[in-house]
Amino acid sequence: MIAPMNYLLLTMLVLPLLGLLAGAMAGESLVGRRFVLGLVLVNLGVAAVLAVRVTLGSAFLVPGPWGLALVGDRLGVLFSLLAASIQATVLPYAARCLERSVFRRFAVLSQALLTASELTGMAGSFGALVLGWVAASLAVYLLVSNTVPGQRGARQLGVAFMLGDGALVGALAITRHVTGGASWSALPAVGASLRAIRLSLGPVVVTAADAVAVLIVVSAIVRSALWPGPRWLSSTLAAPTPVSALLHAGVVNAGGLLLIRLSPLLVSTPGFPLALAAGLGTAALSSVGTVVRSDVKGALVHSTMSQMGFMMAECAVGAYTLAVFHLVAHAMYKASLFLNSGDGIAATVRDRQSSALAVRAPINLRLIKAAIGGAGLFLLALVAPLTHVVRGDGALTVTFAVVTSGALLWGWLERKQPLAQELWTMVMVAAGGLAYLIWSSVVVGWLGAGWSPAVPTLLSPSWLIAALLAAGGFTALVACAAPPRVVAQLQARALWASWRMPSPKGIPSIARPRGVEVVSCKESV
Amino acid sequence: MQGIGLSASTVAAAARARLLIDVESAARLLAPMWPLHSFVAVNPLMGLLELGFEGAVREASRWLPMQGYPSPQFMEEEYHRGRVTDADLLAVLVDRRLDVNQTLPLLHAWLSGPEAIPASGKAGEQVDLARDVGWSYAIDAQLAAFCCAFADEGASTWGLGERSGGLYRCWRAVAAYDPLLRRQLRHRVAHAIAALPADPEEALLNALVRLDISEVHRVAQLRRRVARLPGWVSYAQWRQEWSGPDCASPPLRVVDLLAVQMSYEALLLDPEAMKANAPPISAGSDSVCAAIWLEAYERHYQDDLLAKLPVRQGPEEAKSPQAQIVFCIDARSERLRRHLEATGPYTTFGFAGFFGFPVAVAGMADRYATARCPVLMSPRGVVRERPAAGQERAAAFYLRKRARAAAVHNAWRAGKTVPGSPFVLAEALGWWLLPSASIRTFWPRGARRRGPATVLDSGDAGGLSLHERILFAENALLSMGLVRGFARLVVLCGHTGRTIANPHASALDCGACAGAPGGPSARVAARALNCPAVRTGLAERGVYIPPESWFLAAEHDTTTDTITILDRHLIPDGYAPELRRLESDLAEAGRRCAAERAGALPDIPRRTNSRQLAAHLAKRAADWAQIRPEWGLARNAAFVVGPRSLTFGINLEGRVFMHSYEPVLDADGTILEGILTGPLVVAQWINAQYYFSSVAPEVFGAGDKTLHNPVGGIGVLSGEGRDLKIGLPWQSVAASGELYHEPMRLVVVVQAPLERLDAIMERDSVLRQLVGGRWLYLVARPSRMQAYVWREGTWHSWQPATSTSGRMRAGQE
Amino acid sequence: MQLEGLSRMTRVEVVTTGQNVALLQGVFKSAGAVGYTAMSSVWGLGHHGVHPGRLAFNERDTQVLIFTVLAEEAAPDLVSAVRHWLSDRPGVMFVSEVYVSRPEYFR
Repeated sequence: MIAPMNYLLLTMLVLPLLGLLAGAMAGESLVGRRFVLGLVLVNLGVAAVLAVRVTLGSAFLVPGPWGLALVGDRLGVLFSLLAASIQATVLPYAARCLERSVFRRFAVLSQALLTASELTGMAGSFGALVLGWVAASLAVYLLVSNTVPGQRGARQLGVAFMLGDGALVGALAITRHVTGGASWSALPAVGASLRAIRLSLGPVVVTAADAVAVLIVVSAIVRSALWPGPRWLSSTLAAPTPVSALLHAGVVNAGGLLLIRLSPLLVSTPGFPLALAAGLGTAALSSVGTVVRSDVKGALVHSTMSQMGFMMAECAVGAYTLAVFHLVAHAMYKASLFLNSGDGIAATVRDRQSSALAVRAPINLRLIKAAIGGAGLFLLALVAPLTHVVRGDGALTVTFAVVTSGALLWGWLERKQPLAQELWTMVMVAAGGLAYLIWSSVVVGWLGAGWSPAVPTLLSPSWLIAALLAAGGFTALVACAAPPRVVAQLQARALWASWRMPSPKGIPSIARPRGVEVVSCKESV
Repeated sequence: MQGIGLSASTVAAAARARLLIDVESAARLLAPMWPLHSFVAVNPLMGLLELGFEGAVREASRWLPMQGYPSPQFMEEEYHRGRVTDADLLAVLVDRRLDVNQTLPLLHAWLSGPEAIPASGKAGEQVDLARDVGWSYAIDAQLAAFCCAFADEGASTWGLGERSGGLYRCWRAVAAYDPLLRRQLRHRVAHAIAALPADPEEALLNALVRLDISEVHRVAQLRRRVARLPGWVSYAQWRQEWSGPDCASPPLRVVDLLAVQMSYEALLLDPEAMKANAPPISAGSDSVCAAIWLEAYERHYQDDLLAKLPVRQGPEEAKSPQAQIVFCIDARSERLRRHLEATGPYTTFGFAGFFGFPVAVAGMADRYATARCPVLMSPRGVVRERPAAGQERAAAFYLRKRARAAAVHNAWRAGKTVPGSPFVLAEALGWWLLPSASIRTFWPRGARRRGPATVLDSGDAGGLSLHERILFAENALLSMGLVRGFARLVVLCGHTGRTIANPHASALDCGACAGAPGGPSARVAARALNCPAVRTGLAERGVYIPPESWFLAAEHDTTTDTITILDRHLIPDGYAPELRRLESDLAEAGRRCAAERAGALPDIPRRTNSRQLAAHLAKRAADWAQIRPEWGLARNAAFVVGPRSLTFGINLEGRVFMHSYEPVLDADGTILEGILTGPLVVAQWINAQYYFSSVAPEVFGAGDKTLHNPVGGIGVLSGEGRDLKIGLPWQSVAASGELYHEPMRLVVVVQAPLERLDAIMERDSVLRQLVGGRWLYLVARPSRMQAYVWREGTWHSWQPATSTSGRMRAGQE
Repeated sequence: MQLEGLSRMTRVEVVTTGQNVALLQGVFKSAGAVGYTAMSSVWGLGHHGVHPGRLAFNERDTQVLIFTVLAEEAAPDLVSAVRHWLSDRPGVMFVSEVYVSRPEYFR
């Protein structure tokens, strides 16, 4: 049963390359477009078949030369399935909205990106992962520089990616130097041997594992556009909508995959805490950026950054299956939102026009009802034996689900409605929450079956719950107790921070300010 | 220096007043920009109207990086295609009294010259962050970002707080946190901001003094700043001058924008260095060759058009028509009118799409009423939609449904905002959104909202008085020339374009209804004209409408070419057979229209069946990925005022605005005056908007639609830029890199005696400016025999260019 | 005519096209006038010819007469501002003495 699966895997990697050739040769004609689209759909089908086979059977390894290998396990297959479905949604959209010559370039380069993403997902060894990673970075750079008018956005992106890829290649080099090839099954041993190599820099003792871990985390931070790293995601605003959709959906989530695959190398190093800090920091800061921006795509950029921060935080505390669930669902969510970005004007108008439809309900009542709804969902989740299926990470999912259902109720009940309708709404939201929890546990369970990855020793999902409570408390404090002046100040700071500051440099003496005496009008005239 | 003997406060008052005047002068470089939810096409150079077309283009090119004429490459291609010929050039040279032998070779040499690079490089370019930028770019970037937040009509969840004091005051309250200022001024930033005046006019005066700009140079320097942010200045001009008194968006004035911009400069820049390094103001690019080529290009079309008009008695219109249909003057109606008249015994009329009733309309579930009249008028009343008799329960049900949809949307917004909740929201919704996005991409299907039967009655409270309704009705009918011989059914057909996920959707709607669908206006007008009290009043004024005539409202969907009869519940029973016949004929005419139109749309598959074509067009209208659902008013070229007999049966290719007019009813010329100072101005604005979006797309066009980023519910940014984009997107005027719209100035053909036109031109400065300034061409056709072109103050008999060149060649030999 | 008890003030009238009215309102206000009166659709014979009254479909290109009354001390500001405005725009200005019975309304 193994040999056909090998071929299936290789087919899945080769199909996009065929699509690339087809796009390059005939991408401008109707027949060429349809052929490329057909290939993408076939790719999707192959990935689905692989998923079924992996579910029924077990993971398998396809070894290759030079320490490269491919692995067919649930994580990799899910990632490839995701990449193929995003491609299958964005490509027909692009066919209709891009000009023919631009579409040709888009088709070619997005197929290259698809191959690289699938390779990243199905990589069976560190070397293969890095190969796929670098190929994906290159494909993204080419995609952006060929569809954006002018070279400016691409340059910033290129520099950022070189930084991230350089870090990852450095980590690979160190690992190779120490132990040679490293397929996933051999990683724990590699990690142990890296930790054994010590180097004392003054008072601090640093192991090779620390260096490798930091490099890996830096690479993940750069790729997922997290906070301390370069904010290259804003430069994707200069790209057409389908390109942005592809980038936000297919490229940024590779950071989480990286951490998960290489988690044995990060145990007992500052890697996980670093990732947690970056993730939580980005999640917090960019959440504020999302609500402050008034342009559709700018808000989506910040939203992606905060969601990736959350995913990274989940990886950093060891909730790997949850992180994968998040990155898959978010990719689908963000791609759809980007494709719908043209609705921005109409949506704002609808909002304003419908603001008269009902009287606003008083805030205290809303709060109480939202809390009741959230508590109801929590009780339901406790009653239904869901937390057990999800192992120790269950509390995390349930907590966040409770917060979200409370938020939905809070918004839904803004308008005064008859009591019966409110109760019905609460029931519906609770039912929706329950459905989400069930689906989440199904997928997470499917992912985690037979998988016992290396988890961080000091960090656990309760860190995220604590962070959530802290954020919630702070927001409540600001919203209720802070004077309006302070709130306005916070809003202003957030506003200015959410737009990238232009950096005028190297300009002659025009820039020199002369002091700040301001002559008032009355005296001068 | 003034001020001796007067107190300081009065001196300041005089200075402020003069400042306001100078700011307005400076801002006249740009035209107002309507928000995209009710987009109105305007002439981008309408502030410079008095300079004439060539003068305005020259003045604009001093400040903005634009060329006001089609490029040499474009003209060369058109020349080789035969669209503009040597005969046309000769005719233009003869008219301009230029020496043919010397000028013609120069013109041909111009074709192969490089596109002239505008001298003023920096002004007006898109604010771009990723490259090394000068300080003026940095300042513009921060100002534009702040404007995006200030002008937000509700797109962001946590918006700026107190905005009623205007942009400057709002900015001053938060400027201390601007990273650009903090980086430069460091710890002194709070003190510096606090030292700025609280009043915008004072702040601007202050900054001008600080930057050492004297009153003599003030307008020029302000104009230079204005040219750096054309989008926001245009929007501010709309907001301060054209938005209604109850506009819901925050107040934004040009003075505030300039005050903030120049306060930044005063705080950050060194005046002497700035003066030393500032690029000189260019003298403007002037290309007589380009102007002559443009005129020749236009001449070719004008000759074609005038040659098509009948010299003899042409095919007859239907004598006793089954129904009379009044369409909007929109150029897309021309095809439908032609096909409808070929389908059955119908006569058609053209009148502005608001049908003479200037009202604001609010739907049943709407909070705000939107104006539905040309922007040159202001609405006289508010008409609220109410449920028809017996439909109250259905209406209540509908309102509850809408309230539920609003509640869902609210829940979604809260889910995205509350800390911690967006994560599970994304996780939960993603699984559902992507499959539905895929389905939407592969099988687009529009959903028509079916509401309860409603009534739009302008006689209701808050609407128009009876006397007003009678006056408006009489005005409309007289202007059209429909005052007797009413058929049993008279249809008032407004128009709209239906698209999905398109920020520029309202650019496809009716311009005469201020960028809104024309259906409600048709309903208002039809209801008023069916009202017995109004008909009595009309009869007293000499317009007798027989009781068996019924006015119907209809809406023409220009994207799919389907016509829907509205307010069916109000139609009395006796009209059923005629109505059935009318509807089937309208459907047939729509199908023929679609077939004629389809060849021009890119990506239309080879269909032979009209039903398949209709399905494809419906799919196109519902497709969120479709970048070009219809061509809109691209290729518009002419405005014809006259009875239908002037244009009956002639294929004008959907390029002509047609307004009905009966010369015999208009002895004193007031009707014609109304047409030429109202609908003509609107049509000229549309024509100029398309012209400049084709010829200067970086400045006056909105650029590539795929890069658009809707902001604040009012406009779009492009790519990483922060300035609003004005005008029409590139995909509305071009396809596959080639222009589809032919950039030409409007040619107006009027069937009226010359004296009448002379009198109107003498009386009305707006028409004088338009015609005398060569913003459009005026051709009079007092009789079938001869046409006269107005040029340089007099009427010249029209000669086709071929005959001119023939004469010239004969003269040479 | 009895003029006792009436206060002398200055009236500044401007006749111009409707599109300039918004600016003039702003100018009046910033020069210290507290109010104004406007009459639309005025017609007559001017330097550039006959100006029509009401136009059927256009409210911005018809003539408007706008005037304000203000204290004599404040008048020169407004007059200088309007003169500055008239330097490149069409219109006419009339400045006259006027006697009002409620001077507090105009300060």
